[in-house]
This record gives sequence, C-alpha cells and structure tokens, in this order.
Amino acid sequence: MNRAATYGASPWPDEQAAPFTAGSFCSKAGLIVMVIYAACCGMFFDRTINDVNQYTQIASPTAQIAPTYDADGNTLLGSTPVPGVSGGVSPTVSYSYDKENLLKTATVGNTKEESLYDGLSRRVETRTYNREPSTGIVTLTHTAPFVYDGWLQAQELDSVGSPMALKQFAALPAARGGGMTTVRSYTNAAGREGISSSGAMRADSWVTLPSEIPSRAGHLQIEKILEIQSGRGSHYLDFQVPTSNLRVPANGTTTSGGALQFQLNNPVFINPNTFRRPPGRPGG
Amino acid sequence: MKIFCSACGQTSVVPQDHPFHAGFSSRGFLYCDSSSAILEFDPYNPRYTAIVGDKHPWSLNSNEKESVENALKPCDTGGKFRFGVLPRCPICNETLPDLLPDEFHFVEIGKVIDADKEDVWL
Repeated sequence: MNRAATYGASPWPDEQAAPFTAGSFCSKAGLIVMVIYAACCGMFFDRTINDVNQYTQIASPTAQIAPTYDADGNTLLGSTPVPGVSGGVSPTVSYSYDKENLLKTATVGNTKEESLYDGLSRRVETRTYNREPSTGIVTLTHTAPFVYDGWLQAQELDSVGSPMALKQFAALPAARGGGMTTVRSYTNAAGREGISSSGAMRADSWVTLPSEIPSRAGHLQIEKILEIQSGRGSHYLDFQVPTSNLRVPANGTTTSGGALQFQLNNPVFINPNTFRRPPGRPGG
Repeated sequence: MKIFCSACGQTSVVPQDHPFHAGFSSRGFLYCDSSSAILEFDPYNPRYTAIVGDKHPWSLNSNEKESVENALKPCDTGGKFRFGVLPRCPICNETLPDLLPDEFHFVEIGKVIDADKEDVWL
C-alpha cells in the first residue's frame, strides 16, 4: 500500500487533497497508463502503473518522476503534483518507515519531517528539521504534537505543551461513523423565540460541540471562543443530529477562538423547552 | 480591534475584539456600497422572513439577496446596502479588502443600523 499518500498532515500536498478527475484508461505494452486531469492547475498527468497498481512513473508535459517502493509496498521515492508549480510534478519526496511500516521520515531537499508514534502506533508528533547546505548544520525548525480522542486525531498543536490549537480535525464526529452527535447552538432572546416558534433549527445553522465550550465558561469567554457578537450568545440549545447532517463550513473547521464548527445540512426539529443560559449571561 | 487602512495609512479603533461570526451570532449583515455603514438584522426578523422564508442570510442565492437588498431603504449617504460589499474605511472611505477573514464575518467599523429596531424596510 502507498502509505505515504495517506498522510494528510504531511507538509507536502498529497494526492488526496487535489481535485483530480480521472480521465481515460488504456493498455500500453502490458502497462496501464492512466491519464489524470488535475482541474486545479489545468494539466494532464500520465501515470504508469505496474501489476500491483503502484505508480511507476508520473509525468506532466514538462517533468516526470519514477516512484519506488519497498517490499511491503511502502513508497520510498515519490512525488506529488503541486497545483500551480511549474512543471506540475514537484517536489521529489523520499520516505522511510519503521518496522511496523509506519512512516518515519519524509524528506524534500534539505528539509526532513520526522514522525513519532506512541505504543498504540498513533502518530503523536512530527518534527521538522532543516539542513543548512553550506555548513551541514541541522536545525529543528518546527514541532507539531497531535492530540487524540481515542483513536481519532483531534488536534494539532503548534509546539509541545502549547495550548494553541493550529488545526483541529473537524472530521471528529463524522469519523465516528453513523449514529448521532450532540451539538450546541447559541443565540439571543430573539433567536430563541424564532427557533422556538418554528420548532426547528434551520438548515445551514452553525453549531459546535458542547465539549468545545468549558463547562464553567461565562458569556464573555463563550463569545470569544465562537466569535459571537456581544450579547448574542445569551441562550443555547444542545440537541442531537445524525452525524451525516453535519458538514464542515466553507470557511474551515474552527473558529478563530479554536472551537470546532459545523453547519447543519438539513433542518432539525428541537424541543424549545431545552434552551439554557450560560453563567454570567448578559440580559436579553 | 485596530484597523489599518493601507489607502490612507490611518488606524481606526473599534470596540469589538475580533470580527463577529455572523453564523454563531445569528446575524445578517450588509455593508453600504458608498460608506462605512453596516446594516444588521436577525435571521428571524419577520420583515426578512417575509421575503425569503426560513433561510439564513448566509444561505441566500443571488436572487434572494437582491430581493432583500431591494427591500431596504438607501443608506443616509445615498448608497445601497448590499450583500458581499467590502467594508470601507471610516476615514478615507476606501474599501478595506483585508479586514474580513471571509464572507461569514463582519466588523462594525462605521455607523450601525439595526434593521430589527429601525425603520429601514420599504
């Protein structure tokens, strides 16, 4: 398997992230050549595949690379199309793996990213090193610890022990598969009245997870976390939705206050009697 | 918040600490296309829902947005309140293209018109 391509947190764009459209397939001298059109950069990539479905050559009109693999199928030398990069195939990445076939390092030029794992094979940290070509001195330039919720990667932090979340993985509830997720919506008195009279949360309403809000958070802290206009977070409602009814908003997974955010795909019927008010709330 | 205008080089200070999230604040907003004024309304405002029904302001299509815009009185400055218009510097009136992180956030940088309380609907 091509493990390297599954690491979405790699500093290098991977194939999963690019909006590719599979084009045509044809047989060519015993090999399969798959032509993939990268809509992002308006470029075609010819990919040659061997008999175990590994890419053995990736070529754009101006550049090409021949990926290699170890006996376990891990990519040793690869490359990923980078939208907007001249030549279309860049950069060349070399990978190494541990005995469990977990990605250990990914190297591009003088930059290396090292992945560390816990005893359960969960990647708990990446460390990025830069080697100065003229002196050979290697410097640790970035450390990114990961926080887990059970088996699910929940957060990426900016440095060891830092409380500042750079990246939260909004797939958290969705990754739990089907079933229901409890979400929370904030509003003010007028919004509460409107929601109560209609008996439903509208489609496209914005919600967060109750776990994103500290239990003793006052209204000022809540307003900051969710970027709520002063006084307009004075009422809240927890309710359950099918996980499939949540989507990641167009502006990203988190608010600037670091809270996970979602939008409802479809309206959800609610019980108006379950509205609550946070401590230290403003009037209204 | 301090807001720097690259056009005039001046810095404006507004009371809010961060751009407001329209979704979590449950707020519709339209900036004036010729001044720094902003018009805001609640998505459950009956004058608004009479036009577009049970839809949030951030979910409207272009025709629905135009219907809401056409139902509003002009700004004091003669401008028109429109969805998607960039906020303007209160000092030089040039647009501030980098102020808002996305279409879901707003900053009260100039005059605020509360369409839930003021007579702004035609």
